[in-house]
Amino acid sequence: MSATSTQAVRGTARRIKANVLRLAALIALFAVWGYAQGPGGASTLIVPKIGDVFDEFLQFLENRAVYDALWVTLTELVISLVIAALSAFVVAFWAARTDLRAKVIEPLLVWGYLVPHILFYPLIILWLGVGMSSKIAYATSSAFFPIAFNCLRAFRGVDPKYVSVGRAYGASKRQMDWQIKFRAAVPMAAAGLRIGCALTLVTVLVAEMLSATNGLGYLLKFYSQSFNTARSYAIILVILLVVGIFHLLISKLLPKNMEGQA
Amino acid sequence: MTALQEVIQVPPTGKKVRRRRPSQSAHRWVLLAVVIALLVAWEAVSRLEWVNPMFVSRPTDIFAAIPDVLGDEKAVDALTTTGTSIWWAIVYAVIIGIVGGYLLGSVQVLRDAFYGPVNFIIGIPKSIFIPIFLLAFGINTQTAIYYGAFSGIFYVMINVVGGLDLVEDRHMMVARAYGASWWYRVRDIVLPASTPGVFAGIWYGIKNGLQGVLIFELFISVGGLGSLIKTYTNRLEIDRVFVVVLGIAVISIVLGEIWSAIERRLSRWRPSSTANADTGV
Amino acid sequence: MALQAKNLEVTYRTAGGRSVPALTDINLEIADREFVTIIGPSGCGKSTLLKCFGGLLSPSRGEVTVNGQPVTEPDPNRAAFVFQDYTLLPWKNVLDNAAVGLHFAGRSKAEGRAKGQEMLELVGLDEFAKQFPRELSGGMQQRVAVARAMAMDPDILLMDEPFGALDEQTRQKLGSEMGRILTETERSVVMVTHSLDEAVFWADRIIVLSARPGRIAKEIEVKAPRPRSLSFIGTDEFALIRAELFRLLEVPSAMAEASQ
Ligand SMILES: Nc1ncnc2c1ncn2[C@@H]1O[C@H](COP(=O)(O)OP(=O)(O)O)[C@@H](O)[C@H]1O
Ligand SMILES: [Mg+2]
Repeated sequence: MSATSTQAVRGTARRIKANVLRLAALIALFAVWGYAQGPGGASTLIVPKIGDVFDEFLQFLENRAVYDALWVTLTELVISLVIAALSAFVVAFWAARTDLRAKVIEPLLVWGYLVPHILFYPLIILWLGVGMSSKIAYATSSAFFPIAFNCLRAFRGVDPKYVSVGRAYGASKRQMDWQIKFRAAVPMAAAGLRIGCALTLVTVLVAEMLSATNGLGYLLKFYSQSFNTARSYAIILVILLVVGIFHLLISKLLPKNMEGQA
Repeated sequence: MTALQEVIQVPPTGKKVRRRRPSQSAHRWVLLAVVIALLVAWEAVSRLEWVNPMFVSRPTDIFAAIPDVLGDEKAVDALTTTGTSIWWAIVYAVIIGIVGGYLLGSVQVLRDAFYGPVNFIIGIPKSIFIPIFLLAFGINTQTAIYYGAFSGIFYVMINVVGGLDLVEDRHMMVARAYGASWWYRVRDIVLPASTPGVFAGIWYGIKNGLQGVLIFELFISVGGLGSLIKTYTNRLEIDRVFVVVLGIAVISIVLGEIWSAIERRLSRWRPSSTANADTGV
Repeated sequence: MALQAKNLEVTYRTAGGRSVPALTDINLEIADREFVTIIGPSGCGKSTLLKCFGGLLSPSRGEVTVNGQPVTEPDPNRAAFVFQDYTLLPWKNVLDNAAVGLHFAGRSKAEGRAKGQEMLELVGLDEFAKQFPRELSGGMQQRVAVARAMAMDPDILLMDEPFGALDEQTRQKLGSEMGRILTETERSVVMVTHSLDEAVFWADRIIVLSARPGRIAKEIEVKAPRPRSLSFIGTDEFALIRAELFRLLEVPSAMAEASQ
């Protein structure tokens, strides 16, 4: 057998092993579920029938209300992401221009990130009401700090080599900012943006679950509080699907080849 | 010349020279000034009634409300409840996460099979599982602990795996060449080499465990700070809300700073202190 | 004699299952207190050979014995390693690094510290005991690595291009110092090097390996008594042997001829 085909066989063997293990874990999960359902005697209020959940899931895929909720959630998500990212870029860019500013702003950003923003949510509701704006405010404030921190690090960390090249070739201040510093900082800034994306998704859903009038998180809360267990599970599946697609998009748009910190 | 440099580069006292330029701490003062300025601005805005003082408190009032909150038996209870829940959530998350992370990181099949899924779980908003936790464990503080632990575990695991990837073959080779048994290899090579990842993991475990408990308490009334904040907000006792919220915020910041100081100290040996096993959120 | 290799053969198996012959037909004896240098084209199996001597690698065929005992796994008391890139443990201070072998052997902390300190004095670094490796220059780190090996009181010292990562100046300075130390401590040394000068300067005997799969192309004795002063570099013997090595390593046909 030739060398490459042996290698391929070994790789395949490893993949098969891994997939068998995954499958086993999945089967175990369903087995526990099935057991709780049948011999375990758990109430359908706690553990719904697998078939019911699946039925509900399929129905959701044709349900207008779910698409409305999805639309609301996505709108909140995109708006907060845009506001957070833009303001973070501006702040980071401004702060990165002098040493003093950077040193003063950086701890503020770290502190802003350390604070559990969720505690402010009841106040935000009080100020902005239960509509979309409170979700956007909360998600924006959560995402702003890690994005800004990473961007600041990125702009500060630009290799001085590039800067001196720019200087040597007589780049103007504006050219220096855009052609040199900005370009060089893109990878790490992208890392910050990626973190921001993940964070907005998380925070928007949490906010919707805590108090809202629409959105996927709201639907989940609504069904679970009306003890419609099969539907709650099904909406969780819907959200997982959305999350999966969202992460796929992120990994396509913001490839993970650079380290960021959060 | 190089030989000479070798002699003069490192001072022979065996101590590192600390150069302290006078301007080095200047930014601290500016930072303090900025924080004070922000507080003053807030106070001014509130006094000038640019915002409705009924909904937005002001620093002086918040300050004055501290004794009220500390005197409020319910508040003290809530703090104790939440503190205890957070503590146990973190303990579970860190212990299970570290053990799980070392398993996941060092057993190749497990890593092949489950690293991807665990990574995916990290990106999932954990809150969507709260209803399931409620169904399974009931409406009580114990469930808050479980949910908090669940929120943190995966971050710990992924970072521990990242830490294990920092273990270098050449150091393992040294251990072997110098006759280290399995136990010494773990203790003197694997553990220290992976500390950056473990530290990052514990940190994310703390952060997310804490947040998980708070989210859970805000979602459903099981006592604790979540309920307290909601009660105060509903009664429009905004000063008190701010005392609690800002109190927790300050505690978080102080703990975070202490944590990074400890980490810096423990990783003095590292050439650069940024070998952070990144996990995203 | 201290070390003996009989019909040694090493074939690596790559992750893809391919086999790479690295060494064949190595027969070698190294006497007590003998200083042997190994030189050869890069990738010819020098490190592989040294790893077999140290028990870090079991040969595919043949065996290595030290004082008649077969070598099957590493024993730092028998043969201690000095690696090319120092590989001190960065999280241990200099003293703990020097004493790490004793620590692994389960000796008491006090014993390790005492021995480590003694060895650091030997290599002139006792004042740096409490510092971390990253605070030391490359040359100093390599001295610590030598102290770490010597702390084991090994019969044989195995050094894999110990000065390879250093610049020329440091290399020479460190080299002459090490020469003094190694000669004083009177043990067998096997040193891999890619420097012709080093190979000649240190050696009682030079082993020249041919390109992969490595086999012994030539053994050259250096008669001048050790320790040698720098003036040895100006002698005819040095020049002649160096020229011979140069021919073997730089002229392919010469090597092929020698390995017949
Ligand atoms: N672990 C390994 N797996 C496969 N091949 C190896 C391995 N280690 C070394 N080799 C191969 O064996 C040969 C000899 O390696 P080495 O002993 O390191 O050479 P040298 O030290 O003389 O440069 C090289 O061609 C190298 O590619
Ligand atoms: Mg080598």
